[in-house]
Amino acid sequence: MEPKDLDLAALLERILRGESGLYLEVVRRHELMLRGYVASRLYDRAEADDLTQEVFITAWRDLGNFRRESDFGAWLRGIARHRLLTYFRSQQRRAGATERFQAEVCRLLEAEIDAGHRQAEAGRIEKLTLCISRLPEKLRHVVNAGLNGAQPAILAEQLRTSIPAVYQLHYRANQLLRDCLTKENLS
Amino acid sequence: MNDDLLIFLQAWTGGAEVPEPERVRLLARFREDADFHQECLAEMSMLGLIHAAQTPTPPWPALQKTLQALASAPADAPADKPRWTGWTSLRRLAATAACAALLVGGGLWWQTSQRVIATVVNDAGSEELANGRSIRKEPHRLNAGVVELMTSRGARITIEAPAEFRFESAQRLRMTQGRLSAEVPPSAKGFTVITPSGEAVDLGTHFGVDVPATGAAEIHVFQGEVIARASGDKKALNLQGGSAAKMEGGVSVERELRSSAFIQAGEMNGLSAGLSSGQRARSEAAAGALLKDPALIALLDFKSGEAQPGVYRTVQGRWPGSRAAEFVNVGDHLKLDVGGDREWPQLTLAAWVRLDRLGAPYQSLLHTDGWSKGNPGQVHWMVTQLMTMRLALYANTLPPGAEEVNGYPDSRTSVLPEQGRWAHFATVYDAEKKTVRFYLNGRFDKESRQAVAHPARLGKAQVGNWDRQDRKLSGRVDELLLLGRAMTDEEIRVLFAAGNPYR
Repeated sequence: MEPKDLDLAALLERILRGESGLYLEVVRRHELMLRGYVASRLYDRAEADDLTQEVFITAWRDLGNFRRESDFGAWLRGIARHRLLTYFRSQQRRAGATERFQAEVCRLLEAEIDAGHRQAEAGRIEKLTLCISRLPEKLRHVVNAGLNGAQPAILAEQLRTSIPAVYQLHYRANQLLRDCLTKENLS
Repeated sequence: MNDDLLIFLQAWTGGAEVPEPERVRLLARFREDADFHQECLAEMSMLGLIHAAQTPTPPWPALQKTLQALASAPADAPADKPRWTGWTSLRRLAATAACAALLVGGGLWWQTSQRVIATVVNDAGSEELANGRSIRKEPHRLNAGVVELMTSRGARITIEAPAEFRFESAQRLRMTQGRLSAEVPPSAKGFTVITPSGEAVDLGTHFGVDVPATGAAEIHVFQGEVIARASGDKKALNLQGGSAAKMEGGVSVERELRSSAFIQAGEMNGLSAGLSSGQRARSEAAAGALLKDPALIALLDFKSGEAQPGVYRTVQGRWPGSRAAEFVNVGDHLKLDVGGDREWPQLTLAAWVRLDRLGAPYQSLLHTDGWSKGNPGQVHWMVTQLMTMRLALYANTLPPGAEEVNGYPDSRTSVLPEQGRWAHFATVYDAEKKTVRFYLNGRFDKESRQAVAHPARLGKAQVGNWDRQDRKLSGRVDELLLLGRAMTDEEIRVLFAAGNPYR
């Protein structure tokens, strides 16, 4: 049986018996969800992906602590939450205003591991790609560019508008994406 | 969208300055107002999901090394160990893995703690650096395509292949070959590009650096100010927006600006979308069909790698890894000798052109060498000072009362908006109908009538120049087509649509 055909419990069992390579299949199944989760707390693409990797490594090391009747995704998010707080603490001295703000928001969300992420399963994220492709061109451009760092200012210049207007456009795009995801999930 | 949500997101993403008291107030509202809390969370979650959906899976190098190290470590976990209770053996395994990684991989934990210097935020046809890839201090070779990087200090760097580069830090980029444009925000002021012949130090600006495979590096300042310092030169040259310099032989010498020779961030989305939608395959199919056209005189697509005679640079064309001719210096030209054995009552001329700069009196697209008395029908195709296309045939005349004031058929639409982008120029000549029809980007622009219309004569010709400085083209030419028949409006439209690198 191919790794992709194994259910999660069987995969974890075989990994614990020494088939370490199968862990990549576990990563494959959860990476979209986890990257999305981490990026929704730490809005810096590179740092978020590095931190996601660290979560997977930590999860690998602590795999024996996972209770098999539990939700594996929630367990990963719990590790991520802890790792995020550690990250923000380690950045405290050199953090700029944005990082300090993200850190404080993350701290305020400490008790809400799954807040806003109950629907973040891989299938939903894959549908999101489809929904993004259906956005009107201008909104798609804004969504593709993202709001990282200097990007809003660049977008504002490209679109000959203001930075707040760029955020309004992204907000409008997010509304359309939520509607699209709802329709996709119903269909 | 309520104002507080908008400001909250600006503070959270770092897209705009939000004063400290405002941030404190928003955090208090986030803590106390449940509805606001949920609204913010919904937006943050969507932004996170978009990140996951939009960027490819990273290669997870540290994770791969952990697993590889474990696979090569001595097995000390018995297969019949009870499931889910083998914590000790698992921990031993993990410890073995960590130690092995430290020894074998040069320090896994050190590696993961290395700071990311830049991230690939957009790519068009780059196999080496995919979108989302984190860049640290390792060297990179980009063989094809264009990548857009965002440094951790917010500088946006667009690099075109072929290129070799390495970040020494977020503020120092060493480039031994390639062409980059940089948009540097105040947070990254002082960003420096080091080339083999000198360095460019940004003072808060938007600039380009061209490091050809052979020859001197050039700095072009689009906006703001840059210090150019040639290797070994104690004197630095302050370059203001609109100026450029070549660093050669230990000195910096000012030269004309070629602002549009550089692919900049705004062009990337179109190129990337064009590739994703399969434009390259459509373009190749269209070129393949042209090669079978019985009326084909020449299709110069630089694919074979066989250099055409002349003095010009071979650079990347419209597609990742493809080739085009680039004309940079006075005297650059490409020689052609086709279709000289007969007359051409009908002739279609078309080319993909990327103009670097405008303002030269004439920029040669194709100039036959035999333009002289007693040799009617010689062809001169160019961009004029007024940024229009012109097709002049020797000894042809305009009818009385023609709107053209310079004696030759000129197009109507200015090519100016197409500076710094690939544009498709086409002109169809028909001596029997006595017409010259112009097309820009597949669209019919204008028909000029001729009173006297000789059949076209080709033969020895030059592209990019015509032995005189006032015919110098500045830019790139890709897929130059000469066809011995008149293409229809629809054929020109299809030719453009198939070859358009943008979407």
